[in-house]
Amino acid sequence: MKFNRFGPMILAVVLVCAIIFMPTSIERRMVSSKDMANAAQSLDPHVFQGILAQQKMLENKQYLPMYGSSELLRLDRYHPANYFKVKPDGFTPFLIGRGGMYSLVHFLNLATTANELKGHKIVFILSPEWFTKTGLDPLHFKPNFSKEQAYHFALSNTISPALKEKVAKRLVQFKFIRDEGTLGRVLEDVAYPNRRSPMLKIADQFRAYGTYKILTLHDLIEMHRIKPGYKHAQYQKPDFRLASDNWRQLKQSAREMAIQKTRSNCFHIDQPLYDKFIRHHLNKFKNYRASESYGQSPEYADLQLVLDLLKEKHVDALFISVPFNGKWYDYAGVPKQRREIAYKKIADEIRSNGFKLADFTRFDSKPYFLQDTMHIGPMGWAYIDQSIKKFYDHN
Amino acid sequence: MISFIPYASFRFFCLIAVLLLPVIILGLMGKRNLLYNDCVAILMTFLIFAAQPAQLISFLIFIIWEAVLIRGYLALRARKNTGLYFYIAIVLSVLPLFLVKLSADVTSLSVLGFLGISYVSFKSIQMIIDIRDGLLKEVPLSQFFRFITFFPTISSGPIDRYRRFKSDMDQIPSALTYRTLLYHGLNKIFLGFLYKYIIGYLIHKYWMGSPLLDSNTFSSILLYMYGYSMYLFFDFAGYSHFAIGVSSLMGIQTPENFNKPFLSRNIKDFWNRWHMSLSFWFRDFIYMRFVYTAVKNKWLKNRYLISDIGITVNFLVMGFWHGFMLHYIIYGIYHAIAFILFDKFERWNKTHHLWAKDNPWVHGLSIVITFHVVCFSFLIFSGRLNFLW
Repeated sequence: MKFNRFGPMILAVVLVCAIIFMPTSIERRMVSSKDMANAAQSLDPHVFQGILAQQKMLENKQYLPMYGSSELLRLDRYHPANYFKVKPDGFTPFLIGRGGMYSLVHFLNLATTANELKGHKIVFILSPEWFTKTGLDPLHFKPNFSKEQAYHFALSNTISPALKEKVAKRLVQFKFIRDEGTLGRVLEDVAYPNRRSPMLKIADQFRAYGTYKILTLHDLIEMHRIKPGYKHAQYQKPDFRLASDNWRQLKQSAREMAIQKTRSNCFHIDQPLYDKFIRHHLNKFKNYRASESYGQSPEYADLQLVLDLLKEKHVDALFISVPFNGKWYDYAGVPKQRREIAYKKIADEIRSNGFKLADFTRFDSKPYFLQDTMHIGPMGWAYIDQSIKKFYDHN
Repeated sequence: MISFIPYASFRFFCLIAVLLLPVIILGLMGKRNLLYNDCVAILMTFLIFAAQPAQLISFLIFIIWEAVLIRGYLALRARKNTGLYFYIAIVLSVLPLFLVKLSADVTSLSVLGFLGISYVSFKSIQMIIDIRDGLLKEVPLSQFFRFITFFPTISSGPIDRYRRFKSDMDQIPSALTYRTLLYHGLNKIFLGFLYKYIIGYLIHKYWMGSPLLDSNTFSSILLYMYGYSMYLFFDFAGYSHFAIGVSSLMGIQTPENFNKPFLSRNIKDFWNRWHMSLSFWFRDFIYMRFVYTAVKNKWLKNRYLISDIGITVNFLVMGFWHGFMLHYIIYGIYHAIAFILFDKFERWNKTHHLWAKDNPWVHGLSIVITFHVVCFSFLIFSGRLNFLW
């Protein structure tokens, strides 16, 4: 008779388990289309460190995902997020990326949404400065490494086993990932399947699954908290006067804006930035990158992993190859021949894998494509808008 | 190595659920296997300190030190009961705790420390006092170690008493009694989850963590004061629920630590309801001992004065015990003053009847006043006011 009193405790356990182990498909259904609209251009890290928002976004053909890094933040009125508001073309750019999100980081983004990606169109912006001798380093990787995505990668079978093993081998090269406890161990098990006894592997899989489900629950909660709008100073409002401009006029007005912002110095760098960080330290920057070269870089192999995944899932991808700021790199000690190596290797890699490439590296020694040493400026975006539209409209 | 700080991780709860399963099954059959329990005790001691091997070594040295002291004093006491032996034994048993507490100022001493040193010290000191009083005639080493290393309460109490613990150990609960204990224990553990990991966590994250409380303005400090007091209670009461609950599952009825402290109607009442196992320990072994000794040796004629000094010593020691830091000592002095003033007021009120005791409104007002006096002391305790001195 006293046993009844255990009821509430049993109920508590059942409820907690039900909430934690609720299938991800139900969690995804609980993310509303309004949450999605908020997330699309918020550049909130929870979006690109989570999985629910990205999976949900890909279910909806309205969104065109754009993978990139810090340039996505340069939200001037020519930025695709703004431009396609002014001149709608049937899609909303969904921005995924922040500083330090190299190919391998995006691989995890893409792998966790591999099922939903099938036959989808995506845009992927490549930065040539990733392709150094070191490539991705822990300093950039660690803050952009998502445990939730890594657990999903380790536990699911959305990509071919061979590719999965290859990527796991690359991931566990990083010490901070190996040191992640359970996550590190399950990734090592994927990379080196015969390393440990099946018993130990299964025990860790259980633990990993529990943690993974708690992380997706956290993901779900964060998605409800995402607010629309941008927190960053670089934001300009969409300018509806641009709607009537043809491409030539658009590029021209963007060029004028770029000239306006960058005419104070011979490197065509945004004036406030130049005044703050460069003007007074100019000597320090002379030849400061002289030892940099782009012939050999782990980043080419990391990019190949992304390409392999996209091929596997028949994704229709447009890659955008962005130039260095030629004048600045000349000054920094990286001659044009060395830069050309990066441009060529990137273009060859994309084309030989059969993907579309919008190559803007011809702007290396022509000003105004970039607004500083590496980030896309108004005129750059105008060109990119045109190539995105062409890519999207083409069947 | 993975850490198993008591009640701090999901991992810890999973571990004890597995380890205690045989204990629970045997308990429901009205049985207890001492050998298994001892193995669990040893395993848990290692796992709790596993992440910090230095602490494990300190802990092992500490319990051997205390065992030698207690057995040594017991032997000496049997031969001759002098105050000198007693005081030497007390000083030696307090010494490790004193040095570790001093490490707040002299950091090199912190190597001696380990998680829960205070609580195991309190347990051993109290045994020495019991031996002095002739209440303990024998202390089998096995019982001593079971008492000292009792893992559910090892890190932060509640502080049990040896004789009470031993009677629970000697008495194996019947199947029926154990079923009640099991219910009681599990219920406590679930309450602990509610207190520590839901209410306490939310207060810490959203109330105390609010950026509104960062500035040193009156209103933000006031809000911090309420938030911190609530957090302190829910976090520690939650922890105590875990400790008492797990003890229950092992057939040990560890004493309660909290009894609705924020409903206290005066400061004296508060200390009978807040961190009870500690405040009773201080009352019995510091305040009472002091008053008893002072009266017996006729140090002073005025018994009120003796009591006031006793209270001051009591709370000063408590302040120093929290750490040799200014704000802890101010916290101790503050409580001593509040306690003494209340004592005087209560005596005065006996003849003047200003404060009617049975009136529900007066009762309510008393609770509100006491609550604020107490919350302010926690504000001092929190170190939030340290910018003042």
